[in-house]
Amino acid sequence: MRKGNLISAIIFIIIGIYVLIEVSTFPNLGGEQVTGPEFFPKILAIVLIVLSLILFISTILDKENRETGLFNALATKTYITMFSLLAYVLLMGILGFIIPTIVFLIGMIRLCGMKSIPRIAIVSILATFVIYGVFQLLLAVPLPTISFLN
Amino acid sequence: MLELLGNGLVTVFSFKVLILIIGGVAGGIVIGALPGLTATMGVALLLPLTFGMDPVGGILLLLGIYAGAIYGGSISAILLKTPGTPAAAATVLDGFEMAKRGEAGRALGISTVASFAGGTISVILLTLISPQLAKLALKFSAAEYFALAMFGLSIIASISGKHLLKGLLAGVIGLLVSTIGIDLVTGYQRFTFGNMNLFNGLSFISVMIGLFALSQAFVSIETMVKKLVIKQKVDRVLPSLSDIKKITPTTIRSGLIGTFIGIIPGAGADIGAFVAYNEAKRFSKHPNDFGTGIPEGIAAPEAANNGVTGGAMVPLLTLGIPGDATTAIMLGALIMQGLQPGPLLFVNHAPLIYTIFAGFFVANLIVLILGLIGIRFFTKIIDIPSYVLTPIIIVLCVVGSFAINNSLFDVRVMLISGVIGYIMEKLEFPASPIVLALILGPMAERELRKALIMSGGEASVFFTRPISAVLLVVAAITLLTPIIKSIIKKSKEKRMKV
Repeated sequence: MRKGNLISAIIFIIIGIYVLIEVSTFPNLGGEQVTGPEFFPKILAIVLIVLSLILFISTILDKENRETGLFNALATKTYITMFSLLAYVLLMGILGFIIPTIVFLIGMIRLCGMKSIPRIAIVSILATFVIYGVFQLLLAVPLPTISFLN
Repeated sequence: MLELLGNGLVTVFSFKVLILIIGGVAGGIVIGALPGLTATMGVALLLPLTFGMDPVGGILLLLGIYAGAIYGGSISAILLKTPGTPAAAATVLDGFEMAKRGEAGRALGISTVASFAGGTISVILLTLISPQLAKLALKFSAAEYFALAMFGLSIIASISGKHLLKGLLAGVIGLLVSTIGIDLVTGYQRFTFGNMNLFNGLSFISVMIGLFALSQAFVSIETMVKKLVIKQKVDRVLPSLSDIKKITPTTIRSGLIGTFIGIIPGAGADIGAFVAYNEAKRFSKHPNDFGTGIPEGIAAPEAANNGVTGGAMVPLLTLGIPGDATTAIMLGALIMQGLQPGPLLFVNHAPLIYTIFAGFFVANLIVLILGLIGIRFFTKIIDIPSYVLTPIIIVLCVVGSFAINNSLFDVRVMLISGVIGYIMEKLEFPASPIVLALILGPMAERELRKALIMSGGEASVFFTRPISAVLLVVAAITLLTPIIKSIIKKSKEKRMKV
């Protein structure tokens, strides 16, 4: 937790400094008025830096250290999920909704612990077509289509 | 008003709308009953269903889900000792105890009736209060709206619990993110990196789906549990007359408490339920019986959490400020339908507003009917294994964020928000402040600058107008009280150690 706090404080301070540099390039269209586009982000960046410094210092002073659970064995499954999800979304841009969804669901349900492969396949295909049917056909909510058909 | 309500009821009882409400409530009960799926997540996930619908049907579907999910949480609280939603956490105390004695049906029946009563009380108050509040809000100018936004933002401190500093940080980050896009006053592009998708800012619905649904799915992958087993047999659900008599005073009081807590921006159904439970205990002649499985102990939190639903709609509809995280998504739904929540909604769309009121009442009625008739069916649903459910939820997150603008860019925003939400959860940063800030940030900035332009740069305008001054003072108190409290607590602890 300590490391996590310190790293997030540093990231926030960097964001704050970045915003301050960025807003200094904003044109002051209002002339003398305090209400230009830079006004609000500037205040926020300063507050962000101050709060992050407080977090940084109070974390250093605080001796207590707990596990965050970001790096234990269980979290590995989550990271695999995140990367599969990224691949799924990228594939969807090319292959449309149906095929990547079936593949993604088969992989995920297996990862989550269902054993029987035929059952996984049936559940995945069924779920995909139910979602497709409800959204695209019944409610006319658009889903990604195969890109070269457009 | 009565005429408008009557016309509203006629619209609600058209076949199509009624089916949507029933479907919403049934879906909501299922979502609420499944541990790990909250009302906020349910509304966020199913919001895209409404994109192709007309405003009345779409909004009432979401309200049905909202009311159903808040009620549904009590089913698993009573049967599994696991609240289906945070709002039902207080229901576990007496609900599970009663079920353990073999009276699961009685507990579920009391919870159903209390939820219906609490929800109905809140809808009545919503109907009575919001038009008056909207009338008052019509007189608001930029200064008042800025003060109002600041008041809403100050709530961040009070909802951050023990992680006050992290809550404030999350709020500031949310405010900064809300400045992305074209500045509405000058037309200047801020932090867009020339990316056209960012010109209108980040779609906050994508951010919310990521923060509230996807990140929870990531967490539940780690805590994948084996099938939950219900041991209790559900017998007669219809509550006896003596039970109804016993819970009536508690139910009415708790419904009122829930409604008023719902009206306060930021305080949601979980807080309402616990406050009402404590109050019921305080008012009771036999406070020591609470926790042993008495009817009042179930009625109080259940009437209050459904009371919050109507209460939370009051600031949303009249001022455009959501009462809790679920109504924050509802705000997105209203805007997607081309309806900007705020006092003008009552002037320009009065028939629609009263139809929503009437439909919300009907939704509560359906909670009662489905709860009493269909409870056996809903207890079966809890058996859906989470290893199937979680992957499907992830797919629904993708579908939902895509459907907002038909764009994979929003899906990427959702994905990144989900990952950030997951890391935040692990580092104990609360997520709700970000959402509150995303919604109130643009409003705060716009009104602040408008007020300053109108006053010629004089900041005193915020303090010479009475409503604005009062709101700002209240905001300062709301923000500072928890900070001062935590400083005092820390220094006391230090002294104890020395």
